[in-house]
Amino acid sequence: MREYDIIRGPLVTEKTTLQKEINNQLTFKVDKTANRVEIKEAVEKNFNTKVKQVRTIQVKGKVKQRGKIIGKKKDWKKAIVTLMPGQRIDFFEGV
Amino acid sequence: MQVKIEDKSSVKKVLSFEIPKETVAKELNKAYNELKKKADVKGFRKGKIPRKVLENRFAKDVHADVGPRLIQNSFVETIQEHKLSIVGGPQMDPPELNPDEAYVFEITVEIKPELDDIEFEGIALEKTKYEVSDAEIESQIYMIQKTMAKKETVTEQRPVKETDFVLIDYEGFLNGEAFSGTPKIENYVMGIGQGALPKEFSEKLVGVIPVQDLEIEVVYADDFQDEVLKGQTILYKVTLKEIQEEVLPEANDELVKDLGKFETLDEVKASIRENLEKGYIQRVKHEMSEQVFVHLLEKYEFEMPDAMVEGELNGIIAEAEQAYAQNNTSLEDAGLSREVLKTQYRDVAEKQARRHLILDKVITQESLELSEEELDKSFEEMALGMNAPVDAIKNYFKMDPKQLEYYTHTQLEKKAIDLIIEKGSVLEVEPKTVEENPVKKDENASEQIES
Repeated sequence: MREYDIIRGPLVTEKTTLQKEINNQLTFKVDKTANRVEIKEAVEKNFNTKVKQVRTIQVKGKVKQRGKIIGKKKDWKKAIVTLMPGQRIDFFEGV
Repeated sequence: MQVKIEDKSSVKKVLSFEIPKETVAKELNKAYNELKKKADVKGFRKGKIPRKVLENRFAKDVHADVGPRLIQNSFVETIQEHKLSIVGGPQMDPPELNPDEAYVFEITVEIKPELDDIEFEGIALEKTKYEVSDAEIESQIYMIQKTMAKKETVTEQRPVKETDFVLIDYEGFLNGEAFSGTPKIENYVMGIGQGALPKEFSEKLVGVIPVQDLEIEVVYADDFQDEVLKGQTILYKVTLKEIQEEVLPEANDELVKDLGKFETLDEVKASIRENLEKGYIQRVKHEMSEQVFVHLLEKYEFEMPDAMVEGELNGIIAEAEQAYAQNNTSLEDAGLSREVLKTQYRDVAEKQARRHLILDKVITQESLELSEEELDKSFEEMALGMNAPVDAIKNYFKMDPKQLEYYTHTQLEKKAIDLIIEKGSVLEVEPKTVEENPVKKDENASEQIES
């Protein structure tokens, strides 16, 4: 799998902005099949930076109900990437 | 805030502003704080959005909001501080707002020219003594006679003259057969040289003694307006039955009674005289105000801001467009365009603008005001002129205060003109030439004064 297929996009919420500021951690939506090593490589290559640690979470898609019709949002994988101290990604600044 | 005012000319100024970085930052903070309360961003609760996120997403909007506000505030402040009376719209090319730098921009404005006090006393004016002559009245009476004329049959045997009317029957034939487009018409009265029939009729009928049959051939042109007749050659068989003469009724009390509201001929004459005199008074006033302006425009030279001239020009063009629209045509149909008119009327517009400025100055200089009574009186005059009830006019102006203000101003200008004429040294002169039709006014010129 190519590295630019792995990262699906940034996840910007109140929580992730806080984590970024306090712990230098960035949060991405990533491909469900990617593992931590692949994510680490992908981030390092794409954003030209050094990654200290990657933690991943499988996020279950929400069940959405409208009347009788019950649907389910897709499951996805969240990756919290901790950068080496002093490293940063310009793309992420304030996205 | 720093402002530099640079004079380009006496009526054109360039204002250079420099708004310090701190003020810019303060304004931006205010805007972002305001935005924070309202903005809805996915992943954040309302009011909990970090500044950075806001900046990234809304910088353009916030700058577009804060920039003009800064410009406007400082602009208004400067104008009030320096008491500049701006005409037209200010011109500028707003630069991008940079949050970390002072905001520097330039505005070009045109200001109303400052006029010196206008000395209008003792302007030499010529007042033409127009007098209503009996001949003018007679000619008007003749017009009345003409409209009341009756036609009488001529009994003697004589040829048709060019001033006559004739009673005819006629029928048109196409290729020797009766043509449905030109059915037989009986007892048609036509004036020689007038009316809807082709001109060949008049030509052929002159000199003929009734009763007589004639044949008149008419070739209709290919572009004749009647679809049925165009391009056809029609042979008319005409019977000249009798000659009629126009007989003018005698100018006496009897004739006058038919007019409706008069009893005697003298009354009518008096009324005509009155009308003519009114026209002359108007004309004299108009001539004198022309002289006033010729004098004042020569004496007081000042630079005119383009915006004012442009404003007048637009007024003139709008008027012209309206006039064309009323006749169901447009400028383009008449082979004109706004641009052509603009170059044509530029001088007129500039003169008008100058007149307004001079009158404005006179109004403030003399602190002229229009009292309620004067306003009411002018409404009444207008009602009389427009044949509308006074209340309707009053209501119209009440509904639209802007119009009222404008109207009051024109009345004030009239008052100013009156004042100047009154203070002028008036020399009475005899009329230079006797004109054919003295009632006819110079439409264009009077328009200029009134507008």
